[in-house]
Amino acid sequence: MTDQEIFNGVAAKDNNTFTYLYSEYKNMIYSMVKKNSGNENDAYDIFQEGLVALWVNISSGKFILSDKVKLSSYLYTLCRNIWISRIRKAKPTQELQATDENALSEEMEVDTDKYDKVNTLMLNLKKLGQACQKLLRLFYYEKAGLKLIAEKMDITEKTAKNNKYRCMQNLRALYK
Amino acid sequence: MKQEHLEKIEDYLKSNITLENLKLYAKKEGIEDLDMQIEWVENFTLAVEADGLKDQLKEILPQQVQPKTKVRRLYTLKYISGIAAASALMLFAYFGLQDSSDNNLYTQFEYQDPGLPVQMSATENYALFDALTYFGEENYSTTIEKLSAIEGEKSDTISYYLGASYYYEKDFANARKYLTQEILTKSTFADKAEWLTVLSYIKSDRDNPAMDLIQKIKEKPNHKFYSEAIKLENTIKK
Repeated sequence: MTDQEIFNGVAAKDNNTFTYLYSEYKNMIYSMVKKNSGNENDAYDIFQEGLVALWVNISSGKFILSDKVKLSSYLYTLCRNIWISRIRKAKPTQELQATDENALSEEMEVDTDKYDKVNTLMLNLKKLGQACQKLLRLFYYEKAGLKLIAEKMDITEKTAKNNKYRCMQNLRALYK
Repeated sequence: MKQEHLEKIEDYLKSNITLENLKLYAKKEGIEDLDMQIEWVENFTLAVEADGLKDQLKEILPQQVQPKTKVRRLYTLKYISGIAAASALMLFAYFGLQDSSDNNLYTQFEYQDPGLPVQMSATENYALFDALTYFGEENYSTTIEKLSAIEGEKSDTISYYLGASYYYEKDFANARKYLTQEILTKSTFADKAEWLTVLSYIKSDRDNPAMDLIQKIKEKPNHKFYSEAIKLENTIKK
């Protein structure tokens, strides 16, 4: 797949693109995580987080494809930064070992600020009630209309609309 | 943030209205922290979507698999060796030596298929993608298990990798069952399938059918294993 195809695929949350990225780059990420105090499960988590962060940065316009940046290097650096952040929380003095010279030679600015904010919100999302989580998931992730949500949740369309707003406000209160 | 403000900002983020129109609306409504509100709604929307994406990835990406098969095999061997009588061990060692001398003779002809670069976009078949990932990790018993479940789909890729997996698991009869299937004769896997079939005959001490197949390969100068076939024929004749 070309970088452009991967970029478009990730933006569209396309399963084929994610499985392609997994098959192509999992070993590189695993190697980096394993050499830095991580195990297979850590590597699996970090790779998933890296893919979510890649999607966040593409969707928010933080990552724009260009000839200067290889998408694989960008993904590697995202995963690396997420792993650094995680191990620094656990062991503040630990240095990260380089494992992939090619990827590291293209040392680049990879912003995880947006992902960090989104990730914090994701954690707070779990604190909302089940009904709120379901409604928000249906509306924003599954792109269901309010009419369909009303049918699925056995409420009126107007209630669905109002509840969506209340759920957002609840999350905002949790975030503050 | 009022409900109407949220909806207006969502309209902007969906490109249903321009930033200029949103700013005009904000001015009219007396919203002073528009940028912060936009950022909040964007982050909130991304968080809900990212949460869904996380679950999506958990479903589609293969879970980490420990190499249980190999560990189990080693454990079994250890167990067997522990309980075997001395005479059985000697017999085992004798055949082991014989096997290793044969292996030395033919080692140079061995072909280790690394597997396809697994691209699900090309196959659009998750089960096949999953199986080929195991093949790439040299976990052949799991590859066999996974491919056997989708064997009915009649694909040259499935037949070849089932055959190759049986071959690497040293189940040569089953390897030939798949590697000699009609579907492979005009496939891109044809040359590799023929070569593994030759090797499987040799490892089953069946030199005659191996030689017959070598002759067929020698008739095709473009065959991927043409030169190996000639060398192997000479080795067998010695």
